[in-house]
Parts: sequence; C-alpha cells; structure tokens
Amino acid sequence: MSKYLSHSKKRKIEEKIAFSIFYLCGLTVLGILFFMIWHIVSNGIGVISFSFIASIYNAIVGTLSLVSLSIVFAVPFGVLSAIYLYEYAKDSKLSQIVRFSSDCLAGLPSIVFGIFGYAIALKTIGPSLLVGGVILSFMILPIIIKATEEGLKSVPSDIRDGSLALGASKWQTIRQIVVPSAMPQIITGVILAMGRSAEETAAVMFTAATIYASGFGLLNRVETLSFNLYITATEYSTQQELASAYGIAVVLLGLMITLFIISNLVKRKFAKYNSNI
Amino acid sequence: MPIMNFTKFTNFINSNLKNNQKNQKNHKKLNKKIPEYTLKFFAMFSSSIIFAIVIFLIYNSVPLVTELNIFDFLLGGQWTPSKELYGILPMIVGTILTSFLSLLIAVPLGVGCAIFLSEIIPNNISKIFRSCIEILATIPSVVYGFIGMILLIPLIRDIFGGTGFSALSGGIILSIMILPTIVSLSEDALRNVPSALKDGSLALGATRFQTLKNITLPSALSGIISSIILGLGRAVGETMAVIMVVGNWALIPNSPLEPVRTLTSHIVLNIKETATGGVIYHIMFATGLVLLIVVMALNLIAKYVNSKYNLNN
Repeated sequence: MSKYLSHSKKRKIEEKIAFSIFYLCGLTVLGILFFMIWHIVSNGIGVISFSFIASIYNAIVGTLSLVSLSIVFAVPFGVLSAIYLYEYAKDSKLSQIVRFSSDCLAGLPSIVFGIFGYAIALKTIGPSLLVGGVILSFMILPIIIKATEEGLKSVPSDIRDGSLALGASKWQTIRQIVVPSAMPQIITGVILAMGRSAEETAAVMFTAATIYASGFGLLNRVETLSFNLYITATEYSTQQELASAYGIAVVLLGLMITLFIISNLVKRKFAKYNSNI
Repeated sequence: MPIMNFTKFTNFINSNLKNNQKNQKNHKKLNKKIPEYTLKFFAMFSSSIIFAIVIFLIYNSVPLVTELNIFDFLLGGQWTPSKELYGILPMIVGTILTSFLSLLIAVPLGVGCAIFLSEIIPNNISKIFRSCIEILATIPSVVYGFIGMILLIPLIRDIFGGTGFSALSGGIILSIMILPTIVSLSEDALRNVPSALKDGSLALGATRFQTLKNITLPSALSGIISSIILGLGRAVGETMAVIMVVGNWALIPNSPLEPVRTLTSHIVLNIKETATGGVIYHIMFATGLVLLIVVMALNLIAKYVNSKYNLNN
C-alpha cells in the first residue's frame, strides 16, 4: 500500500515539474512578445510628432499605395480562382494544379519574388510602384485564395440548393448568395494580405523601394516604411537617426496591429452571423 | 383546305417554338459557360505565376552551366568574385547553421508553449494567448532585425565577445520568428487528438501528464513534426531579419559565434552590383533556385507528413 502511495506521489511530482516547464515555455513566449513591443513602443512613442509624421509622409504614402495596388491586382484573381476551385472544379486535375501552385507560391521565400521582380523590372520599365505592386500581388495571392476558399467552404450547401431550386442559375447563386455569405472571410483574408504587403521588404527593395522618392507615380520608385526602417537601422550614425528608426518601427507595428485587430473584429462578427444560421 | 391550313399553321408554330426553345437552350448554355470559362481563365492565370517564376529562374541560371562547373558552384568553399571563385558553400553552411540553431531554441519552447495552450490553461485564456502569438506573427521582419541589432547584438557581444554579429544572433532572431508557426500548428495538432483517446487514458487512472506523454503527444506527433518542418522552411527563406544580424561574411564559420552569410542575404548583397547578364547575375538566380528547391521540398515534406499520419484523415 505504501509503495503504491509513493508511486502515486512520484507521479504527481513528475506531473508538477513537467507542467511547470510548460508554463514556463508559455510565459516565455508571451514575455518575449511583450518585451519586444514594450521596447519598441517605449523608445519610439516619444519620437512620434507632427513633424515626424511629416518627415515619413512619403514612406507612408508609398507603403499605402503599394498595398492598395497589390490588393487591386490580387483580389480579383484570388477570389475568382477560389470560386472556380471550390464551386466548379471541386477535385479536377486543374484544381489540384491550382491548389498545389498556390501552396508553392505561399511557401516561396520573399527574396525569390524580389529577384524575379528585379529581373522583370530591368527588362521592362525599371523598378517602380507598378512592378512592386504586381510582385506583391503575386505574394499575397495565395492568402486571398485560401481565405476565399475557406469562406466558400463555410457556406452551407442547403443555401446553394435552395437558390438553385428556386430557379436561379449556378452563376446567379454564386454571385448573389454564396459570395455574399462568404464575404466576411474574404475580407479577413484581404486584411491579412494587406498586412503581408505592408510589412514586406525583401521583395520590395529591388522592385519598388528607394530611400528618396523624387516624384509620385506608377512608374516612379516609392519610399516605403519597411525599407526606410531597414536603411535607417543599418546605417544610422546619430542618436537622432536611431530615434527615427524607433519611430518608424512604432508606426509599422501600429499599422500591423491595427490590421490584425480589424481582421479579428470581422472574424468575430462573422462568428456571430454563423451561429444565426 | 382549312384543315390543311390549320396543320400548316400548327407546324409553323411548332417549328417556331422548337427553334425558340433551341435558341433559349443555347442561350442558357452560353450563360452557364461564360462565367465558368472566365473563372477558369483566372484560376489558370493564378496557377501559372509559380510556373513562370520557376521557368524564369531556370532560364536565367542555365547560362552558368557553360561558365562554371556546377560542383564548383555548389561545393566551392570560396566566394571571391575578383579571382573568379564562385562557391556558395559558405552560404549553404551559414543557412543550415542559423536555421538549425533557430530550431534548437524554437522547437522545445514552441512545443512546450503549444502544450501549455492546449492542455493546461482554460480555453478562454488560451484564446487570448493565441491572439498574442498571432500578433508575434504579424510583426514585420525588418522590425525583428531592428530589435536584433539593438538588443541582441550588444547582449551577445557582452557575453561571448566579438562583434556580436553571428550565426547565433541569427538563430535566436529566427527562432522567435518561427515560434508562431510552430506554436499554432502544434496546438492545432494537439487539439485534433480525439478526446475519446485522452478520456480513456484518464479513466484508466493515468495522470494528465502520463496521458499527455503516452497518448496525446504520440498521436499529435505528425502534426508537430510538420509544424517544425514548416518552421524550418520559414527560417531558410527569411531574409531581412537575418541580413541585419548575421554579419554577412562569406566564409565557412568555425563556431556559431562567427559571422555567417545565408543564401537569402547573399542574394540581397550581390544583386545590385550585378550588370544584367554577368556571371554574378546568373549566380543570383541559381542561388534563388537552390533556395526555392529547398523551401519547396520542406513544404512538401511537411504536407506529406501531415496528411500521411494525421489521425483525422
């Protein structure tokens, strides 16, 4: 009996030790996150002022224009491809190829997009907002395809059948019933994609970014927040330049976290909608 | 006569109707086909991008075959363009070293954290925690690089001496960057273990830890392994954060405390100095191709592992 008790005690101690290690792991990860954000924000928030925003105005505009351009290119292709995949092609050869290639595209290192875009740019119009936007749209295409497909998957087939039974054609059903129901997830995907293209540096630095943008236009190079941060962080010589790097990091971080929160709000709203069905 | 006329008339009406129906049918068919073919076009275009990239990379690296030996390229230990030595082995070693160092840190921490999230804390706290880890994933890689330069480099320098720019710094920054991948995918794998298995084990008198060790972890192993392989893929392909902390020396390092150069930073550092069509220009594409093959292979292996042994499938 006593032997059995000691065994159970041993088991309990073992469990306690193991679980406290897991606790430690969890808290370490959380600690790293909070420490990094705290460090950036505490050092950078003081820099943010009206004149600072004015000094990085070009970079903000450049980043936003790259993001919008990439979204404009990627959304139609991503959404329509996903609709084809899920509503028409189901499990055909073509859909397998499209899915496989979208997976590959998603896993491709961003610098590979960078050299691809650089070579294309050299052979055509040179590094510019347009080339950068196109390359970024390639990068975010898989995110949008995946999100749209998830959205379509979540639409119950009863709704489709109901619409078809009332005499609507397949295309009408998709356009007026299925896609609107999948909209929240598509929007979430688009917001994630926006974040992805806003933070991207490697693919942008050879295709679109410059330290000093001379003019604004589709065929011009642009400043971007991420590239500015990279240059300032690697080449700063004064304390003031370091401070401005912190400032840019805060702006970039703020942008990413805002996008994250918006996408979560959309997701939550969608969850509510889903429970009503 | 009127009867004849009448049959003529009905025939005429019938044929008209038939024609109409035929037209309508054609019209309907066309209406059906137009959206389908349009969508098909978009899908085909989307999938052609990756093929275009691959073909482009191959097309631009092929001229190398005539200019230098592929073994000299892949296994040459010297990168000295002035002496026409174009070996990328130092970069391959640098990539392997930083990625494996990052796994060494991220795997125990990440899997431990995933267990913490899925098995130990209540679900509602776990959800908040998970959002935090998702935020970790949204932090831009230049910001990671910046933090690495500002915080990590001085730390490494104080502890180990040297400049601080080293494979170790790269490994640590990369480990933080791949944590979200490992944590969230491992957590999914752990949560996907059927609760009947766990309940059975607990009902037989096993403790929660014994259940975890003997039932949950082995069942989730394939998912965890695939999350690790995906994390490795991310580490290999990461560019900006790495280039800012590893020092970028194109030499084979003797220890993790020496500076290294990875394949990704090699491309960034060289591409601007190349004229179109030069040897280095082609080498950059060949390096990109090597990177693409490695990362794609890792992604495919992860997918295979996950699908092959997943309990749910």
